[in-house]
Amino acid sequence: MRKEVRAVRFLKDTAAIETAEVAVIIAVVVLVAYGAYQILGQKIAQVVQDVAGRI
Amino acid sequence: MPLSFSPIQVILLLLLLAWLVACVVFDLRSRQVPALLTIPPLIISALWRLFQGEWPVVVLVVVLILISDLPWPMWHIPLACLVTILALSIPGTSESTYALLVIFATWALWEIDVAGGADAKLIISLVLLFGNGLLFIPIVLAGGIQGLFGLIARKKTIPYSVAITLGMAGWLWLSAVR
Repeated sequence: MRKEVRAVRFLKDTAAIETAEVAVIIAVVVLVAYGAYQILGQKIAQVVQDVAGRI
Repeated sequence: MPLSFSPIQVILLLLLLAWLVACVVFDLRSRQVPALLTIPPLIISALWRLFQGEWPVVVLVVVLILISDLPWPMWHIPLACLVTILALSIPGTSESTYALLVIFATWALWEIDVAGGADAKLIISLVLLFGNGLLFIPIVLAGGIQGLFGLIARKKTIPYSVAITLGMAGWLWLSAVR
């Protein structure tokens, strides 16, 4: 009986399918996350540094 | 502002463009990109990143590929999160941090069946090649615009390699102008 060889699933996948809705959702999520990081990133880093300094 | 590239850079950029255009052609024809166009570039860009000394990014890619073959699907994402956090804890540049995050996000989108394997490999190859995850932003922006057009045209799926090519071209142009 032939043994089933476990192939590397990720490398074997040749599909290039994206649904239109998902592409729009990903764009919105990434834009919002990047925007939030740009606006709040420095403040968050400052708060983390303050807390670390107190410890 | 005039752009200036060395002859070697021009040749490399043309090769990169030719590769992406070939991927777009296959994607438009069959919504498939052959492994020959995705695996060798992934290996070459991983080797290039190793040569640049940024091994955590390459190790993350290899581990994520291996995780996707583990027999317990429900543990794939939590395990990948853990490995990504470990990789992020290794000191590196902000570009490599973005690269780690984008590689994880791209792989996770593929793992939950939202993105195609070929698209994921193209994005990961480009991130490894340039070593900067910020490349992902123009790509997803181009994808979002393409998705909007797809929705208007009442098409369910879109050839995302077009967005990848346009996003990468836009990112290269922005990097050169800055």
